[in-house]
Amino acid sequence: MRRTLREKWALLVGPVLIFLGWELLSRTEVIRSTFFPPPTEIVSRGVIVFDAESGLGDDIIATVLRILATIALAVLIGVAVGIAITASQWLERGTNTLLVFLYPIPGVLFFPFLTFLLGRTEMAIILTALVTPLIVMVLYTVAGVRSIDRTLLEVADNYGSRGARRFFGILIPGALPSIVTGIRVSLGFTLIAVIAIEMVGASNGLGQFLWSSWQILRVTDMYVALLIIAVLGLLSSVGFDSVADRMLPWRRNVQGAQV
Amino acid sequence: MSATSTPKVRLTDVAKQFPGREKVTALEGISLDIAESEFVSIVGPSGCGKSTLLRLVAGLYEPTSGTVEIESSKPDRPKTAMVFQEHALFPWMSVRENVMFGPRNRNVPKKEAAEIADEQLARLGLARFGDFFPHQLSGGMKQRVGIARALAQDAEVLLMDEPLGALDAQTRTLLQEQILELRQQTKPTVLYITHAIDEAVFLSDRVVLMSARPGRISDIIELDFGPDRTPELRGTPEFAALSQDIWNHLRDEVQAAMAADDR
Repeated sequence: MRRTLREKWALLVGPVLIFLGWELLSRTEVIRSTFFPPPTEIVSRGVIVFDAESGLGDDIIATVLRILATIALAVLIGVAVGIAITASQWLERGTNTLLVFLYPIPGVLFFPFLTFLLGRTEMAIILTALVTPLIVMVLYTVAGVRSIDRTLLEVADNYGSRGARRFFGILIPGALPSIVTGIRVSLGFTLIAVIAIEMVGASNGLGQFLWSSWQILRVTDMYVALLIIAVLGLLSSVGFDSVADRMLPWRRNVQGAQV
Repeated sequence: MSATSTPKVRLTDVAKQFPGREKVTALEGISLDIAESEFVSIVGPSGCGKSTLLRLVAGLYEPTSGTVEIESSKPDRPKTAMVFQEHALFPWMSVRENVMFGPRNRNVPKKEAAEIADEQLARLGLARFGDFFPHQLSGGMKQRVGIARALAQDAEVLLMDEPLGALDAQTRTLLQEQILELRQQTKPTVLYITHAIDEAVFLSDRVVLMSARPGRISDIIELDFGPDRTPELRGTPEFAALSQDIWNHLRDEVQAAMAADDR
Protein backbone atom coordinates (compact mmCIF):
# COMPACT_ATOMS: atom_id res chain seq x y z
CA MET A 1 0.00 0.00 0.00
CA ARG A 2 1.48 3.31 -1.08
CA ARG A 3 0.70 6.39 0.86
CA THR A 4 1.33 9.87 -0.41
CA LEU A 5 4.01 11.90 1.31
CA ARG A 6 1.35 14.08 2.90
CA GLU A 7 -0.33 11.10 4.53
CA LYS A 8 3.02 9.76 5.71
CA TRP A 9 3.76 13.04 7.44
CA ALA A 10 0.48 12.78 9.29
CA LEU A 11 1.62 9.44 10.72
CA LEU A 12 4.71 11.04 12.20
CA VAL A 13 3.16 14.17 13.68
CA GLY A 14 1.86 12.48 16.83
CA PRO A 15 5.08 10.73 17.89
CA VAL A 16 7.23 13.74 17.01
CA LEU A 17 5.08 16.07 19.13
CA ILE A 18 5.18 13.71 22.09
CA PHE A 19 8.95 13.28 21.92
CA LEU A 20 9.50 17.03 21.51
CA GLY A 21 7.32 17.79 24.51
CA TRP A 22 9.01 15.08 26.56
CA GLU A 23 12.45 16.40 25.59
CA LEU A 24 11.53 19.97 26.60
CA LEU A 25 9.83 19.06 29.88
CA SER A 26 12.70 16.78 30.85
CA ARG A 27 15.45 19.28 29.95
CA THR A 28 13.70 21.98 31.97
CA GLU A 29 13.16 19.50 34.85
CA VAL A 30 9.41 20.08 34.79
CA ILE A 31 9.31 16.30 34.88
CA ARG A 32 12.20 14.67 36.71
CA SER A 33 14.90 13.73 34.26
CA THR A 34 16.01 10.98 36.63
CA PHE A 35 12.86 9.03 35.84
CA PHE A 36 12.08 10.53 32.44
CA PRO A 37 15.41 11.17 30.76
CA PRO A 38 15.14 13.18 27.53
CA PRO A 39 14.62 11.00 24.43
CA THR A 40 17.85 12.19 22.84
CA GLU A 41 19.75 10.82 25.82
CA ILE A 42 17.94 7.48 25.54
CA VAL A 43 18.72 7.22 21.86
CA SER A 44 22.38 8.11 22.32
CA ARG A 45 22.54 5.48 25.07
CA GLY A 46 21.34 3.00 22.42
CA VAL A 47 24.99 2.19 21.62
CA ILE A 48 24.97 -0.26 24.56
CA VAL A 49 23.30 -2.65 22.14
CA PHE A 50 26.76 -3.18 20.69
CA ASP A 51 28.52 -3.03 24.04
CA ALA A 52 29.70 -6.48 25.05
CA GLU A 53 29.79 -5.56 28.71
CA SER A 54 26.13 -4.60 28.95
CA GLY A 55 25.21 -7.83 27.13
CA LEU A 56 22.17 -6.15 25.60
CA GLY A 57 23.03 -7.53 22.14
CA ASP A 58 22.81 -11.07 23.50
CA ASP A 59 19.57 -10.22 25.26
CA ILE A 60 18.03 -9.10 21.98
CA ILE A 61 19.10 -12.35 20.31
CA ALA A 62 17.71 -14.41 23.20
CA THR A 63 14.36 -12.63 23.03
CA VAL A 64 14.09 -12.87 19.25
CA LEU A 65 14.88 -16.59 19.35
CA ARG A 66 12.21 -17.16 22.01
CA ILE A 67 9.67 -15.25 19.95
CA LEU A 68 10.49 -17.22 16.82
CA ALA A 69 10.39 -20.57 18.62
CA THR A 70 7.07 -19.70 20.27
CA ILE A 71 5.32 -18.46 17.15
CA ALA A 72 6.60 -21.42 15.10
CA LEU A 73 5.26 -23.90 17.66
CA ALA A 74 1.99 -21.98 17.99
CA VAL A 75 1.40 -22.06 14.24
CA LEU A 76 2.40 -25.71 13.70
CA ILE A 77 0.50 -27.12 16.65
CA GLY A 78 -2.37 -24.64 16.48
CA VAL A 79 -3.15 -25.29 12.82
CA ALA A 80 -2.87 -29.05 13.18
CA VAL A 81 -5.06 -29.15 16.29
CA GLY A 82 -7.49 -26.61 14.85
CA ILE A 83 -8.08 -28.63 11.71
CA ALA A 84 -8.16 -31.93 13.58
CA ILE A 85 -10.92 -30.83 15.93
CA THR A 86 -13.13 -29.60 13.09
CA ALA A 87 -13.32 -33.23 12.00
CA SER A 88 -15.87 -33.86 14.73
CA GLN A 89 -18.56 -31.53 16.02
CA TRP A 90 -18.40 -33.18 19.40
CA LEU A 91 -14.65 -32.60 19.66
CA GLU A 92 -14.99 -29.02 18.45
CA ARG A 93 -17.64 -28.13 21.03
CA GLY A 94 -15.76 -29.84 23.83
CA THR A 95 -12.48 -28.18 23.01
CA ASN A 96 -14.13 -24.83 22.49
CA THR A 97 -15.32 -24.71 26.10
CA LEU A 98 -11.81 -25.42 27.30
CA LEU A 99 -10.21 -22.83 25.01
CA VAL A 100 -12.69 -20.11 25.88
CA PHE A 101 -12.03 -20.85 29.55
CA LEU A 102 -8.24 -20.70 29.17
CA TYR A 103 -8.08 -17.82 26.70
CA PRO A 104 -8.62 -14.85 29.07
CA ILE A 105 -6.10 -16.15 31.63
CA PRO A 106 -2.88 -14.14 31.24
CA GLY A 107 -0.38 -16.64 29.88
CA VAL A 108 2.30 -15.59 32.37
CA LEU A 109 0.26 -17.13 35.17
CA PHE A 110 1.06 -20.58 33.82
CA PHE A 111 4.77 -19.99 34.46
CA PRO A 112 4.86 -21.01 38.15
CA PHE A 113 2.88 -24.13 37.33
CA LEU A 114 5.20 -25.07 34.46
CA THR A 115 8.30 -24.48 36.58
CA PHE A 116 7.00 -27.16 38.98
CA LEU A 117 7.19 -29.58 36.09
CA LEU A 118 10.21 -28.32 34.18
CA GLY A 119 12.20 -26.12 36.52
CA ARG A 120 13.21 -22.61 35.48
CA THR A 121 14.26 -23.78 32.08
CA GLU A 122 14.07 -22.42 28.57
CA MET A 123 11.38 -25.02 27.95
CA ALA A 124 9.25 -23.59 30.75
CA ILE A 125 9.63 -20.08 29.32
CA ILE A 126 8.63 -21.07 25.81
CA LEU A 127 5.75 -23.30 26.87
CA THR A 128 4.37 -20.50 29.03
CA ALA A 129 4.69 -18.00 26.21
CA LEU A 130 2.99 -20.53 23.95
CA VAL A 131 -0.31 -20.74 25.82
CA THR A 132 -2.12 -17.68 24.48
CA PRO A 133 -0.75 -17.70 20.90
CA LEU A 134 -1.58 -21.39 20.66
CA ILE A 135 -5.18 -20.81 21.71
CA VAL A 136 -5.41 -17.94 19.24
CA MET A 137 -4.09 -20.13 16.44
CA VAL A 138 -6.52 -22.95 17.22
CA LEU A 139 -9.49 -20.57 17.34
CA TYR A 140 -8.54 -18.81 14.10
CA THR A 141 -7.89 -22.11 12.34
CA VAL A 142 -11.26 -23.50 13.39
CA ALA A 143 -12.91 -20.28 12.21
CA GLY A 144 -10.98 -20.57 8.95
CA VAL A 145 -12.16 -24.12 8.28
CA ARG A 146 -15.72 -23.08 9.14
CA SER A 147 -15.44 -20.23 6.64
CA ILE A 148 -14.65 -22.52 3.71
CA ASP A 149 -17.48 -22.33 1.18
CA ARG A 150 -19.75 -25.34 1.72
CA THR A 151 -19.89 -25.96 -2.00
CA LEU A 152 -16.11 -26.32 -2.15
CA LEU A 153 -16.33 -29.06 0.47
CA GLU A 154 -19.02 -30.75 -1.63
CA VAL A 155 -16.63 -30.59 -4.58
CA ALA A 156 -13.96 -32.19 -2.41
CA ASP A 157 -16.37 -34.97 -1.44
CA ASN A 158 -17.69 -35.57 -4.93
CA TYR A 159 -14.19 -35.63 -6.42
CA GLY A 160 -12.89 -38.09 -3.84
CA SER A 161 -10.59 -35.85 -1.79
CA ARG A 162 -9.68 -37.62 1.44
CA GLY A 163 -7.02 -37.87 4.14
CA ALA A 164 -3.76 -36.01 3.67
CA ARG A 165 -4.79 -34.63 0.27
CA ARG A 166 -7.89 -33.09 1.80
CA PHE A 167 -5.90 -31.74 4.75
CA PHE A 168 -3.14 -30.08 2.74
CA GLY A 169 -5.04 -29.45 -0.49
CA ILE A 170 -8.38 -28.16 0.77
CA LEU A 171 -8.59 -27.49 4.50
CA ILE A 172 -5.29 -25.66 5.00
CA PRO A 173 -5.46 -23.41 1.92
CA GLY A 174 -9.17 -22.84 2.53
CA ALA A 175 -8.53 -21.76 6.11
CA LEU A 176 -5.34 -19.86 5.23
CA PRO A 177 -6.76 -16.32 5.09
CA SER A 178 -8.03 -16.76 8.65
CA ILE A 179 -4.83 -18.53 9.70
CA VAL A 180 -2.77 -15.59 8.43
CA THR A 181 -4.85 -13.19 10.50
CA GLY A 182 -4.38 -15.53 13.45
CA ILE A 183 -0.61 -15.44 13.01
CA ARG A 184 -0.67 -11.64 12.98
CA VAL A 185 -2.62 -11.58 16.25
CA SER A 186 -0.46 -14.33 17.76
CA LEU A 187 2.74 -12.45 17.00
CA GLY A 188 1.57 -9.60 19.22
CA PHE A 189 0.61 -11.97 22.03
CA THR A 190 3.91 -13.81 21.66
CA LEU A 191 5.93 -10.64 22.08
CA ILE A 192 3.93 -9.62 25.14
CA ALA A 193 4.19 -13.06 26.71
CA VAL A 194 7.91 -13.55 26.09
CA ILE A 195 8.83 -10.13 27.52
CA ALA A 196 6.57 -10.58 30.55
CA ILE A 197 7.98 -14.02 31.36
CA GLU A 198 11.52 -12.75 30.93
CA MET A 199 10.76 -10.04 33.48
CA VAL A 200 9.83 -12.53 36.16
CA GLY A 201 11.58 -15.72 35.26
CA ALA A 202 14.51 -15.54 32.87
CA SER A 203 18.19 -14.87 33.35
CA ASN A 204 18.53 -13.00 30.05
CA GLY A 205 16.44 -11.36 27.36
CA LEU A 206 15.04 -7.87 26.86
CA GLY A 207 12.38 -8.28 29.54
CA GLN A 208 14.94 -9.34 32.08
CA PHE A 209 17.24 -6.47 31.05
CA LEU A 210 14.41 -3.97 31.40
CA TRP A 211 13.37 -5.33 34.79
CA SER A 212 16.85 -5.43 36.27
CA SER A 213 17.66 -1.95 34.90
CA TRP A 214 14.60 -0.70 36.72
CA GLN A 215 15.56 -2.46 39.93
CA ILE A 216 19.00 -0.86 40.03
CA LEU A 217 17.59 2.42 38.71
CA ARG A 218 19.54 2.50 35.48
CA VAL A 219 16.59 4.34 34.10
CA THR A 220 18.06 5.28 30.74
CA ASP A 221 19.00 1.63 30.06
CA MET A 222 15.47 0.65 30.92
CA TYR A 223 14.14 3.05 28.30
CA VAL A 224 16.60 1.73 25.75
CA ALA A 225 15.20 -1.78 26.27
CA LEU A 226 11.68 -0.42 26.05
CA LEU A 227 12.49 1.29 22.77
CA ILE A 228 14.02 -1.89 21.32
CA ILE A 229 10.95 -3.89 22.32
CA ALA A 230 8.75 -1.36 20.53
CA VAL A 231 10.94 -1.57 17.43
CA LEU A 232 10.80 -5.38 17.56
CA GLY A 233 7.03 -5.24 17.66
CA LEU A 234 6.96 -2.84 14.74
CA LEU A 235 9.41 -4.93 12.70
CA SER A 236 7.52 -8.14 13.35
CA SER A 237 4.23 -6.71 12.18
CA VAL A 238 5.68 -4.93 9.14
CA GLY A 239 7.80 -7.96 8.29
CA PHE A 240 4.88 -10.32 8.62
CA ASP A 241 2.62 -8.19 6.43
CA SER A 242 5.12 -8.39 3.60
CA VAL A 243 5.27 -12.20 3.91
CA ALA A 244 1.52 -12.57 4.37
CA ASP A 245 0.82 -11.18 0.91
CA ARG A 246 2.94 -13.90 -0.62
CA MET A 247 1.13 -16.62 1.33
CA LEU A 248 -2.15 -15.79 -0.43
CA PRO A 249 -1.24 -15.34 -4.09
CA TRP A 250 -4.83 -15.97 -5.21
CA ARG A 251 -5.98 -13.05 -3.11
CA ARG A 252 -3.78 -10.65 -5.02
CA ASN A 253 -5.81 -8.44 -7.22
CA VAL A 254 -4.56 -9.33 -10.67
CA GLN A 255 -6.25 -7.77 -13.64
CA GLY A 256 -8.69 -10.33 -15.03
CA ALA A 257 -8.29 -11.72 -18.52
CA GLN A 258 -11.33 -11.21 -20.68
CA VAL A 259 -12.14 -13.42 -23.61
CA MET B 1 -34.96 -43.18 -25.69
CA SER B 2 -36.07 -44.71 -22.42
CA ALA B 3 -34.23 -47.60 -20.87
CA THR B 4 -33.82 -50.60 -23.12
CA SER B 5 -31.39 -52.82 -21.17
CA THR B 6 -30.28 -52.18 -17.59
CA PRO B 7 -30.36 -48.47 -16.85
CA LYS B 8 -27.20 -46.55 -16.01
CA VAL B 9 -28.90 -44.85 -13.08
CA ARG B 10 -31.89 -46.22 -11.23
CA LEU B 11 -33.75 -44.31 -8.55
CA THR B 12 -36.34 -46.43 -6.76
CA ASP B 13 -38.95 -44.74 -4.59
CA VAL B 14 -36.41 -42.29 -3.20
CA ALA B 15 -37.41 -39.99 -0.35
CA LYS B 16 -35.33 -37.47 1.53
CA GLN B 17 -36.22 -35.76 4.76
CA PHE B 18 -34.09 -33.24 6.55
CA PRO B 19 -34.27 -33.44 10.32
CA GLY B 20 -34.96 -30.29 12.28
CA ARG B 21 -37.57 -28.78 14.54
CA GLU B 22 -40.02 -29.24 11.70
CA LYS B 23 -39.09 -32.23 9.61
CA VAL B 24 -38.79 -31.09 6.01
CA THR B 25 -39.65 -33.58 3.31
CA ALA B 26 -37.58 -32.47 0.35
CA LEU B 27 -38.32 -35.41 -1.93
CA GLU B 28 -40.90 -38.17 -1.99
CA GLY B 29 -41.57 -41.18 -4.18
CA ILE B 30 -38.94 -40.43 -6.80
CA SER B 31 -38.45 -43.27 -9.26
CA LEU B 32 -36.46 -42.65 -12.40
CA ASP B 33 -34.30 -44.67 -14.76
CA ILE B 34 -31.63 -43.05 -16.89
CA ALA B 35 -30.18 -45.05 -19.78
CA GLU B 36 -26.56 -45.09 -20.87
CA SER B 37 -25.71 -41.94 -22.87
CA GLU B 38 -29.09 -40.45 -22.14
CA PHE B 39 -29.42 -36.72 -21.36
CA VAL B 40 -32.12 -36.11 -18.77
CA SER B 41 -33.06 -32.66 -17.51
CA ILE B 42 -34.99 -31.80 -14.41
CA VAL B 43 -37.01 -28.61 -14.27
CA GLY B 44 -39.27 -27.37 -11.51
CA PRO B 45 -40.02 -24.43 -9.26
CA SER B 46 -37.35 -23.39 -6.81
CA GLY B 47 -37.56 -25.44 -3.65
CA CYS B 48 -38.78 -28.55 -5.47
CA GLY B 49 -35.71 -30.49 -4.37
CA LYS B 50 -33.90 -30.59 -7.72
CA SER B 51 -30.54 -29.90 -6.14
CA THR B 52 -31.24 -32.38 -3.34
CA LEU B 53 -32.03 -35.04 -5.93
CA LEU B 54 -28.74 -34.38 -7.70
CA ARG B 55 -26.83 -34.59 -4.44
CA LEU B 56 -28.46 -37.91 -3.67
CA VAL B 57 -27.23 -39.27 -7.00
CA ALA B 58 -23.80 -37.74 -6.29
CA GLY B 59 -23.67 -39.58 -2.97
CA LEU B 60 -23.33 -36.31 -1.07
CA TYR B 61 -26.58 -37.13 0.75
CA GLU B 62 -28.02 -40.46 1.79
CA PRO B 63 -31.68 -41.04 0.91
CA THR B 64 -34.02 -41.39 3.89
CA SER B 65 -35.67 -44.29 2.07
CA GLY B 66 -35.47 -45.85 -1.35
CA THR B 67 -32.32 -46.63 -3.32
CA VAL B 68 -29.99 -44.91 -5.74
CA GLU B 69 -28.07 -47.30 -7.97
CA ILE B 70 -25.42 -46.41 -10.52
CA GLU B 71 -24.12 -49.14 -12.76
CA SER B 72 -20.32 -49.43 -12.76
CA SER B 73 -18.62 -50.16 -16.07
CA LYS B 74 -15.11 -50.29 -14.58
CA PRO B 75 -14.26 -50.75 -10.91
CA ASP B 76 -12.00 -47.70 -10.58
CA ARG B 77 -14.14 -45.34 -12.64
CA PRO B 78 -15.74 -42.60 -10.50
CA LYS B 79 -19.50 -42.95 -10.31
CA THR B 80 -20.35 -39.29 -10.65
CA ALA B 81 -18.73 -35.97 -11.45
CA MET B 82 -20.65 -32.84 -10.66
CA VAL B 83 -20.63 -29.39 -12.23
CA PHE B 84 -21.76 -26.87 -9.64
CA GLN B 85 -23.92 -23.81 -10.02
CA GLU B 86 -21.40 -21.12 -9.11
CA HIS B 87 -18.45 -22.89 -10.76
CA ALA B 88 -17.05 -23.76 -7.28
CA LEU B 89 -13.43 -23.70 -8.40
CA PHE B 90 -10.76 -23.77 -5.72
CA PRO B 91 -9.45 -20.19 -5.69
CA TRP B 92 -6.00 -21.26 -4.47
CA MET B 93 -5.43 -23.68 -7.33
CA SER B 94 -4.51 -22.75 -10.88
CA VAL B 95 -7.00 -23.62 -13.60
CA ARG B 96 -4.98 -26.71 -14.50
CA GLU B 97 -4.73 -27.85 -10.87
CA ASN B 98 -8.48 -27.47 -10.54
CA VAL B 99 -9.05 -29.78 -13.50
CA MET B 100 -6.39 -32.23 -12.25
CA PHE B 101 -8.17 -32.39 -8.91
CA GLY B 102 -10.24 -35.52 -9.52
CA PRO B 103 -7.51 -37.59 -11.19
CA ARG B 104 -4.98 -36.61 -8.51
CA ASN B 105 -7.39 -37.76 -5.80
CA ARG B 106 -7.44 -41.11 -7.58
CA ASN B 107 -3.62 -41.11 -7.44
CA VAL B 108 -3.15 -40.66 -11.18
CA PRO B 109 0.51 -39.57 -11.53
CA LYS B 110 0.97 -35.81 -11.72
CA LYS B 111 2.22 -35.73 -15.29
CA GLU B 112 -0.58 -37.89 -16.58
CA ALA B 113 -3.18 -35.88 -14.66
CA ALA B 114 -1.79 -32.68 -16.17
CA GLU B 115 -2.13 -34.20 -19.64
CA ILE B 116 -5.74 -35.16 -18.96
CA ALA B 117 -6.39 -31.64 -17.69
CA ASP B 118 -4.80 -29.94 -20.69
CA GLU B 119 -6.77 -32.14 -23.05
CA GLN B 120 -10.08 -31.21 -21.41
CA LEU B 121 -9.14 -27.54 -21.21
CA ALA B 122 -8.31 -27.56 -24.92
CA ARG B 123 -11.65 -29.22 -25.65
CA LEU B 124 -13.38 -26.29 -23.97
CA GLY B 125 -11.23 -23.68 -25.68
CA LEU B 126 -9.19 -22.88 -22.58
CA ALA B 127 -5.80 -24.30 -23.62
CA ARG B 128 -4.01 -21.02 -22.94
CA PHE B 129 -5.39 -20.57 -19.44
CA GLY B 130 -3.99 -23.54 -17.53
CA ASP B 131 -1.66 -21.40 -15.42
CA PHE B 132 -4.23 -18.74 -14.60
CA PHE B 133 -5.99 -18.49 -11.26
CA PRO B 134 -9.81 -18.65 -11.34
CA HIS B 135 -10.18 -15.01 -10.25
CA GLN B 136 -8.46 -13.97 -13.46
CA LEU B 137 -11.18 -15.53 -15.63
CA SER B 138 -14.61 -14.33 -16.66
CA GLY B 139 -17.75 -16.06 -15.37
CA GLY B 140 -18.25 -18.08 -18.55
CA MET B 141 -14.65 -19.24 -18.56
CA LYS B 142 -14.83 -20.30 -14.92
CA GLN B 143 -17.89 -22.38 -15.65
CA ARG B 144 -16.10 -24.02 -18.59
CA VAL B 145 -13.25 -24.89 -16.22
CA GLY B 146 -15.89 -26.44 -13.94
CA ILE B 147 -17.10 -28.54 -16.87
CA ALA B 148 -13.54 -29.50 -17.82
CA ARG B 149 -12.95 -30.60 -14.23
CA ALA B 150 -15.97 -32.88 -14.41
CA LEU B 151 -14.98 -34.29 -17.81
CA ALA B 152 -11.49 -35.07 -16.51
CA GLN B 153 -13.14 -37.51 -14.11
CA ASP B 154 -14.61 -39.53 -16.98
CA ALA B 155 -17.30 -40.59 -14.54
CA GLU B 156 -20.18 -42.95 -15.17
CA VAL B 157 -22.66 -40.09 -14.83
CA LEU B 158 -22.19 -36.38 -15.36
CA LEU B 159 -24.27 -34.31 -12.95
CA MET B 160 -24.90 -30.67 -13.73
CA ASP B 161 -26.53 -28.38 -11.17
CA GLU B 162 -27.82 -25.30 -13.03
CA PRO B 163 -24.36 -24.90 -14.55
CA LEU B 164 -25.35 -21.89 -16.64
CA GLY B 165 -27.68 -20.28 -14.12
CA ALA B 166 -25.31 -17.49 -13.11
CA LEU B 167 -24.29 -16.47 -16.64
CA ASP B 168 -25.55 -13.73 -18.93
CA ALA B 169 -27.88 -14.69 -21.79
CA GLN B 170 -25.30 -14.66 -24.58
CA THR B 171 -22.70 -16.64 -22.69
CA ARG B 172 -25.41 -19.08 -21.71
CA THR B 173 -26.49 -19.61 -25.32
CA LEU B 174 -22.90 -20.19 -26.34
CA LEU B 175 -22.23 -22.66 -23.56
CA GLN B 176 -25.46 -24.52 -24.32
CA GLU B 177 -24.08 -25.15 -27.78
CA GLN B 178 -20.75 -26.23 -26.32
CA ILE B 179 -22.51 -28.70 -24.02
CA LEU B 180 -24.48 -30.04 -26.99
CA GLU B 181 -21.21 -30.52 -28.85
CA LEU B 182 -19.69 -32.38 -25.89
CA ARG B 183 -22.76 -34.53 -25.79
CA GLN B 184 -22.31 -35.47 -29.42
CA GLN B 185 -18.57 -36.14 -29.06
CA THR B 186 -18.36 -38.13 -25.84
CA LYS B 187 -21.93 -39.42 -25.36
CA PRO B 188 -21.96 -39.08 -21.58
CA THR B 189 -24.89 -40.03 -19.37
CA VAL B 190 -26.13 -36.71 -18.01
CA LEU B 191 -28.51 -35.60 -15.31
CA TYR B 192 -28.98 -31.89 -15.82
CA ILE B 193 -30.77 -29.43 -13.58
CA THR B 194 -31.99 -26.13 -14.90
CA HIS B 195 -34.74 -23.62 -14.41
CA ALA B 196 -34.57 -22.60 -18.07
CA ILE B 197 -37.13 -24.60 -20.03
CA ASP B 198 -35.62 -23.76 -23.43
CA GLU B 199 -32.26 -25.01 -22.19
CA ALA B 200 -33.80 -28.31 -21.10
CA VAL B 201 -35.57 -28.76 -24.44
CA PHE B 202 -32.49 -27.79 -26.41
CA LEU B 203 -30.21 -30.31 -24.71
CA SER B 204 -32.24 -33.26 -23.45
CA ASP B 205 -33.73 -36.56 -24.48
CA ARG B 206 -36.19 -36.36 -21.64
CA VAL B 207 -37.38 -33.53 -19.41
CA VAL B 208 -38.53 -34.43 -15.91
CA LEU B 209 -40.99 -31.96 -14.40
CA MET B 210 -41.09 -31.68 -10.64
CA SER B 211 -43.58 -30.23 -8.20
CA ALA B 212 -42.68 -28.65 -4.89
CA ARG B 213 -43.17 -29.45 -1.21
CA PRO B 214 -42.64 -32.31 -1.17
CA GLY B 215 -40.69 -32.64 -4.40
CA ARG B 216 -42.26 -35.25 -6.65
CA ILE B 217 -42.05 -36.07 -10.31
CA SER B 218 -45.18 -34.62 -11.87
CA ASP B 219 -44.51 -35.49 -15.50
CA ILE B 220 -41.84 -36.77 -17.85
CA ILE B 221 -41.70 -35.44 -21.39
CA GLU B 222 -39.90 -37.34 -24.13
CA LEU B 223 -38.22 -35.30 -26.83
CA ASP B 224 -37.37 -36.95 -30.12
CA PHE B 225 -34.98 -34.42 -31.61
CA GLY B 226 -32.21 -37.01 -31.29
CA PRO B 227 -28.61 -36.35 -30.31
CA ASP B 228 -27.65 -34.91 -33.70
CA ARG B 229 -29.70 -31.74 -33.32
CA THR B 230 -28.13 -28.41 -34.26
CA PRO B 231 -28.40 -24.92 -32.76
CA GLU B 232 -30.98 -24.15 -35.49
CA LEU B 233 -33.40 -26.32 -33.52
CA ARG B 234 -34.15 -23.29 -31.39
CA GLY B 235 -35.83 -21.54 -34.31
CA THR B 236 -38.22 -24.36 -35.20
CA PRO B 237 -41.95 -24.33 -34.40
CA GLU B 238 -41.65 -27.76 -32.71
CA PHE B 239 -39.13 -26.32 -30.27
CA ALA B 240 -41.39 -23.39 -29.43
CA ALA B 241 -44.44 -25.63 -29.09
CA LEU B 242 -42.67 -28.04 -26.74
CA SER B 243 -41.27 -25.24 -24.60
CA GLN B 244 -44.74 -23.75 -24.34
CA ASP B 245 -46.19 -27.15 -23.52
CA ILE B 246 -43.71 -27.66 -20.68
CA TRP B 247 -44.37 -24.19 -19.35
CA ASN B 248 -48.10 -24.95 -19.32
CA HIS B 249 -47.37 -28.01 -17.21
CA LEU B 250 -45.11 -26.08 -14.92
CA ARG B 251 -47.05 -22.85 -14.49
CA ASP B 252 -49.38 -24.17 -11.81
CA GLU B 253 -46.49 -25.67 -9.89
CA VAL B 254 -44.56 -22.42 -9.90
CA GLN B 255 -47.62 -20.47 -8.83
CA ALA B 256 -48.31 -22.94 -6.04
CA ALA B 257 -44.71 -22.72 -4.87
CA MET B 258 -44.83 -18.92 -4.89
CA ALA B 259 -48.09 -18.90 -2.94
CA ALA B 260 -46.51 -21.20 -0.37
CA ASP B 261 -43.56 -18.82 -0.07
CA ASP B 262 -45.88 -15.87 0.53
CA ARG B 263 -47.62 -17.59 3.36
